[in-house]
Amino acid sequence: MSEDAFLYEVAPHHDTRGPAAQHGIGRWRAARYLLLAVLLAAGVLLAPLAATVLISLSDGLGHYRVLTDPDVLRALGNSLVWLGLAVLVCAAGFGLAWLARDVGPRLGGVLRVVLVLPAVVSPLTTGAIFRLLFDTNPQRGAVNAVLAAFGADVAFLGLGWIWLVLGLAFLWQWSGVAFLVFHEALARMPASLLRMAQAFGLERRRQIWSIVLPSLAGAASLAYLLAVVAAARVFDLVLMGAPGSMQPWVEPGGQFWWRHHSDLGTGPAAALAVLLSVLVGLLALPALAGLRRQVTWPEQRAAPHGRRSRRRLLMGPLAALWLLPFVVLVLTSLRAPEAAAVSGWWHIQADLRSYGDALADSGFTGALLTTLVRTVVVVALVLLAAVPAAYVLAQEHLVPRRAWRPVLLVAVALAALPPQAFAVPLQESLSRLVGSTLALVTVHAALVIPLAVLVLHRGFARVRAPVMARHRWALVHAMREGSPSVVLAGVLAFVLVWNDTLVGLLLNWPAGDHLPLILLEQNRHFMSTAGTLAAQSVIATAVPVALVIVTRRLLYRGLTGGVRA
Amino acid sequence: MLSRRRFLAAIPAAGLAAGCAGTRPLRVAVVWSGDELRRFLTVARDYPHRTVTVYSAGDNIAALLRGPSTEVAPDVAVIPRLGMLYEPGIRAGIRPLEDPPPQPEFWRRLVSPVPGRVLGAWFKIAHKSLVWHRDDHGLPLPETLDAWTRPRGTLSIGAADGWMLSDWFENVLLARSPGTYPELGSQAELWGSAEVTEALELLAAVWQAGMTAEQGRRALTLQFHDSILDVFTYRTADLVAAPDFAWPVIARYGAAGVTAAHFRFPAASAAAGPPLVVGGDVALALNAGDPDAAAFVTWLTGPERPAALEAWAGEGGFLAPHIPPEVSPPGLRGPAGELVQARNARYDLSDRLTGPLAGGDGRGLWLILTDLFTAATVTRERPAAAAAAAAARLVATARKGAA
Repeated sequence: MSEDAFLYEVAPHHDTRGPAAQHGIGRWRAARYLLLAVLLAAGVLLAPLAATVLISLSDGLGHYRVLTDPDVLRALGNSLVWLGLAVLVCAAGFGLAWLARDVGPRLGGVLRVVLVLPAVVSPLTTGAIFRLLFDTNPQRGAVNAVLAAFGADVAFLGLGWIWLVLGLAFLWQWSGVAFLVFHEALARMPASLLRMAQAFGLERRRQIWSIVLPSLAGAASLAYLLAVVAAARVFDLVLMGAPGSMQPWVEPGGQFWWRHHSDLGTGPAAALAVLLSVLVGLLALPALAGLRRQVTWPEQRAAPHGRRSRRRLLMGPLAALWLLPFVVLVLTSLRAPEAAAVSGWWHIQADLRSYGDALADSGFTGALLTTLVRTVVVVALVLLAAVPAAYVLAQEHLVPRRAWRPVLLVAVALAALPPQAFAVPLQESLSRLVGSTLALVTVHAALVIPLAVLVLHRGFARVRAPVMARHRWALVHAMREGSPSVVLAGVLAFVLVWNDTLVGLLLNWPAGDHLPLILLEQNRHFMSTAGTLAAQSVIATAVPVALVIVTRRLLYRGLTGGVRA
Repeated sequence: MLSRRRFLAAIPAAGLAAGCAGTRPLRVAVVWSGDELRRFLTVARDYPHRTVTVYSAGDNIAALLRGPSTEVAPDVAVIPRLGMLYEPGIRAGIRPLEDPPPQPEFWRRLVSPVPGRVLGAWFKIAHKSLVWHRDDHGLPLPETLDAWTRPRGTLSIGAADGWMLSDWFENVLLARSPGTYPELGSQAELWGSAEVTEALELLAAVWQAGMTAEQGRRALTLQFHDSILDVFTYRTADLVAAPDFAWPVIARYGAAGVTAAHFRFPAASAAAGPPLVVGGDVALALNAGDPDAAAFVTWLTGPERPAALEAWAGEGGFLAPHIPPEVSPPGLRGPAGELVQARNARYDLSDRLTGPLAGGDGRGLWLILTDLFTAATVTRERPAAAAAAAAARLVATARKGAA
């Protein structure tokens, strides 16, 4: 029976082959391998987090009276709406996966790429695209231009409606990830069980309850966890997508904290940060519980059906619709800057002056290069710390199966932790270093390491032990065999750092040399810089998109198996 | 270790076309983006003595001045809010100008929080008491604020940008209560005074008369530039209160054949004079930075007047104390002259505020005025009720800062 769980399964392996280097490395060597990851996680995440908790409790529970502030409550209410949207993301992902479950391998492959691409786009860019689409002025906003034909006129970016715009943007960005998870799970549905159930005349509802749903539980938990983390980190989407006047109506607690923490005072701000972390933790708990259940997909991917569903006819246009925001961005970037400011993207032009303006801005080109170099350095640091750590954690004689569970919990908790929870103490301890490359690289690396360890551990745990390997080379062997996981971890780190706005702003990173912060500056005059902003966004988006397209096969292996085929 | 340090040091230089071998370029942090940033780049390029790199720090500029690592500390900063000069954490990092460029007394006093020590020099100043319209719109213009509470053509307001609303408030308050205006700051009591509440009520009444609920709803999604476009490109509104730097926006994006005209923001009554609210950007040399920084500030703001700066002023949208009004386009010479001769003008209130009332999207005075705007135009509340609610919040917010 081959287990081939998705992304990372929590269930223990019943794999008789055993992981690499079973006879394994000594404890001292293991400790050395873990050192860098533990130091970074403890120094950058855990210690400041502990400081935040202590500060929040310095007046008993007094600082938690911050919860009586109506503005705080509004922001927390917004957080709940965003977390509700996370559930919607899962539902949309499942719906898409259900529709696409038997569209054939080619269209399935296309959908996997097309639907997942938005996830690597900076939320700033997503916000800009949807703001362009829903501009209040029918001369510029496509949706209002269509409505104007029916005599309707809606201030989409205004009161109330702004939720629709940002909600759609959020769905567009993250549904693809949920789709990928469910699509994989549906493809690995225990077909023989289902056939048997049909043969025994089990009614359809019973089939769904006793076979389909249990086999989807793990996937659902994972999709939910990813969506909750995305919802908890909503920040730059609001900054770019909503006009300044509307931001208080939609900004989640974390963004409110960023804006007001110095007004709230140290203690109440710390209390709010703790509350936000607890909220994410509570909402992530069901997912962890779901993941803890044994999730196995006992069958290999089902062979493609002989007949192809007519849903192909639906899914093709749907893929095209999913690409529309990219089209909007590219068409806007190809308009003359003056034209882009006053009329919509559907007046197609092929004018490269917006690109000319974008590239003439030495701040932008400088930041492009600096951000690229810095991101590569972070990726290297993450792999340097996470690969040996994950390798040690995959050693069964060092980390027995029952001990892995708490390690996993800590890693997931750290991966999901909102940076607000540790930003202030961290910034104070870094005060002399704030703005230095070293500080930002270290903080970014520490933030990504827990996620990287999770991804890598899973790959390494299923690397087959080489018959003749000497343990000195076991790590190299594990890296080679688990290369899809290494690539996946590296690409994840790259995308997270490349697109980061939140950490930069929280650490008061000067906008001068970080690409997303340069893009963010453009929203001071959003419409009149639309052409340049679009051109800069296209350039900024092309990098992670190209990376994902180039590595897509390895990424897919990394997501599904973790080891080389 | 050494190689890494060298490598890291190379990063900032790599993209910036580092000039003269040996000396590193002078780093200048500004807050602009888009057109203004591009213009400033052309000015800085002409600095004859050193290579200059300019980067936009955006709203983060205050944090940048509070003392980051030296690796990124700018040598020169051009700050948009005078209030920063009064923040002890920032002021300590500023190197006073030993030989400040000659600038008019009114302006000089503003940048000298401690008498005798000139902390910076004005790079750009702004006239914030103008109302713009199409030359041919043919409507009666509001002579006084009270007349403006009756419809005088549709208003265009970029209510998505809180600073546009605070400019409105400052003009109305200064017109009605020139005595209260300069006293307002972070003390809570004054914000509760009758003068403030009455100004808020008058403001709400003008806004309510100037737009319908639907227009108010739309206005909340419009930024400064959009509000100019509504008058001069799409012609969906008649009047827009905006600073002098609306000029280049009109010139660049206005519809063909449209001529822009402006009048002074109306006075409270026929007897009183019109208000003059001013703003501007101050160039500073920083302690942590290069000793040559002061020379750059003097070059930028002194009578030497870089040619690119004069060209910028010539196209409109750039006024400065050291640039004679005649350089500006004809339409802006009047406002430019008023600024240079200013004696009793008042500096932009929201740019002076610190603490919880200080501006920024979704906070402080901006947030409260946004809600007042919504109440007056979208939900059509009575101006008196809306003003009372706004005044109560101003007091409460100011108290938060005092606590």
